[in-house]
Amino acid sequence: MANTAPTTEQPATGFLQSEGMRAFLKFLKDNGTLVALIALMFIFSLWDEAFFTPRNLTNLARQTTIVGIIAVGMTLVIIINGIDLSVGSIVGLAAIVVTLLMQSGVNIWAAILITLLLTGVLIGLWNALWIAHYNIPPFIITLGMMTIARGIALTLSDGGSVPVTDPVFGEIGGGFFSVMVSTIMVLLIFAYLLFSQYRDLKQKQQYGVTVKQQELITTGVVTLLAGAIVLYAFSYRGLPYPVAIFAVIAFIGSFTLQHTKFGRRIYAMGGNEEAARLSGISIKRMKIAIYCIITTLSALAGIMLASRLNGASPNLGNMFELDAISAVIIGGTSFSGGVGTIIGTVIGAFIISVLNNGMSLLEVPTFYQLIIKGGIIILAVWFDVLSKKKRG
Amino acid sequence: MNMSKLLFLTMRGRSAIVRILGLSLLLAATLLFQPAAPAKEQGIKIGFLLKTMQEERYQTDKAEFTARAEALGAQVLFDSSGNSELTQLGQFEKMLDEGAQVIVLQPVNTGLAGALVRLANSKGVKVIGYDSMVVNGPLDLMVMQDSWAVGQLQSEAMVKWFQQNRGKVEGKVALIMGQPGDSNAQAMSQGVLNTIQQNSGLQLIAQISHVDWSPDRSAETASNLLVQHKNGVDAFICNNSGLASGVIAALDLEKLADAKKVFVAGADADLKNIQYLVQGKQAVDVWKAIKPLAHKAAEIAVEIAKNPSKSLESIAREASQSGLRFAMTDNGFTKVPTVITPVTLITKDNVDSTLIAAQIFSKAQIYGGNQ
Repeated sequence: MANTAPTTEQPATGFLQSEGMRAFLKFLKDNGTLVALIALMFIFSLWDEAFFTPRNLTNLARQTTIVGIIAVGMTLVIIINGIDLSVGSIVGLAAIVVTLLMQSGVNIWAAILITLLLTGVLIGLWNALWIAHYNIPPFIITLGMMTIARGIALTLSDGGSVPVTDPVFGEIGGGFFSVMVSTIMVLLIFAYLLFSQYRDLKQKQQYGVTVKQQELITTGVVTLLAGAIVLYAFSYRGLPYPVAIFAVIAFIGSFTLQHTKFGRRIYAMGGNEEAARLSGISIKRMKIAIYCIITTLSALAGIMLASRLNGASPNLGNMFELDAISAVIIGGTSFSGGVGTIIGTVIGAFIISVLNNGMSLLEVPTFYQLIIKGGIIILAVWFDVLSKKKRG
Repeated sequence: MNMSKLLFLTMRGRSAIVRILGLSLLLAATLLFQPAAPAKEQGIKIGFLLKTMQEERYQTDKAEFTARAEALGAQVLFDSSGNSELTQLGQFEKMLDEGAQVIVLQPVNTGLAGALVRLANSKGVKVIGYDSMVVNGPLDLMVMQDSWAVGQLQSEAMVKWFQQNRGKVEGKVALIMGQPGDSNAQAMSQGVLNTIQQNSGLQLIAQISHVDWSPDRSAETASNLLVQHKNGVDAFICNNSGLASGVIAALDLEKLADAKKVFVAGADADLKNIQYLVQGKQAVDVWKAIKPLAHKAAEIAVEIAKNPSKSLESIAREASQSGLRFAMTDNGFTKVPTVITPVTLITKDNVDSTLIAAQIFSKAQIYGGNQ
């Protein structure tokens, strides 16, 4: 399977001569993170035969979801030039709150809703109050909230772990759609993606925009390749619920950012907050919304983690803020704001978990893993700076 | 050397504002609490300094130690350091200033805490190590649980499990370790490794540390190992219960969370793991009773304060008489008289006679509503 990645692109370069080559190089430059992801997966597949098996790819997807969901929210925050360091602690707090609520006899759906409201929306509002209303740097406020939320989690749980006995709750993080249902769902989604690419093409032709054939071919091939890998991976036991939840959240995030007024405003704020304010965008309201979105997504991630582990301990989610920020930055979102996509972040999140999973399969010692991960984050930021220099 | 390094760090690390803030908070606290504190000016003062309160067990450490020491007529100065060396240094100095005659210390950094002991000794104050051994530095006396025995109990139970469930002691074992560099994690793991070495049929397939003792990381490790060995892992031995529950979560997905199919051992006896024991998902856990540890430390501290000229080794020997183990432990710098409290292997058969009998958990908590 992995071999299809390079071979499908090879004939395109040979057959289309120098122009094709140029398009191919441009594709490499524009989609550096995607190429890195494919290359990493290819290398690990060669290195360890267990890597490119449906079962391991399913695991890999599941291992990506928790940090991935937080990273979707973090993308919005970083695009508007903000940061949220409290997300990891909120994961721990939400896990404790939802399990304690269920332990005291609250119905699971009510417990989930209350947790999302209390540890998600409410903490988001609190963060946003200081950031938007009192103009305190988000770094400081969320750093404070990082300690506060962890402290509350420790207080509520008395420092100990909280077990879960409800079997339904475990399904959220551990269940699967059957292989049949997943196959149909995946086919429909990728058919839609191909269709929308075709529709874009038609639209562009209507307006007389010239379309490069090579670009079309590459995006088409990448979509088909992704679809094939997804189908292959989920032939193991089907689509895991948490992965489905992650996919829906990533899709909504991406759609909002690209196709809605709200999304346009986010980019405008990130590009130049003062100009955005002068053009009539309510900066305050936007910030409140965005800081609530990220804390609510973190609370959801915490609930899913508690479900996966069938219980919670107050130290869950420690350092997740760094993993989420790394995913966003590796995915090409600029730390100086205004630039970034959810797709990039999703790819970034997958790069991190491919690294974690692959190095773990290859039995790279924990200490080396930390060094390698840090090095890759630095490389990604360096790439970001380089490409900006070229543009400017 | 170490001391000057620590001092240098404090000087650099704390700005003047933080110091003033800290001092004023301290002042406010003393003003608030002074009237309430009983006047035991002439009595014995003992310092009890824990590295953190971030785990369930430390509530018990604090309560039992204080109760025992106060029953023996001593006043306890308690503090916990939030896992920060610098905080601990400040708290330790404060205890010395407040006139503690003996300090019972659980070091945050086992490698640097020798400097604290040196500081105390220079003022004629004795230091008893608690739970975690000070390494490569001086220490007057040590009270600890048998970490090495934890690993030994776990792995002996595993050997027995292999005999009963597989007919022979042959298979793949994964060692799921805690925080890298933690001296207790190392001692527990050593106990396991010894047993594996003695049984040539056992193959150690992984020996992996987990930052923060994180259960979600141990779940990932276990998933990956199961993939790599095509579900052919026979036993997981974990340095604590949280790590074990992560492993159980990963096994659950493969329908392997069954104590007859895969052996899982934890240590700490968290409620969740005891539930797994009685549900038949986890094979064994180890209970490290806190009460004997805390009581013994309090008794020895009072004894030292009352008889400052008595030899520490004979105090430790006398304290170990009733069912405890005595050893002279080499910590890389000196031989430390050590009092070792026992640990207990928990299976689903002895839950009632151990944890429930000692009122650690209630029957309803463990067996839930269906019994």
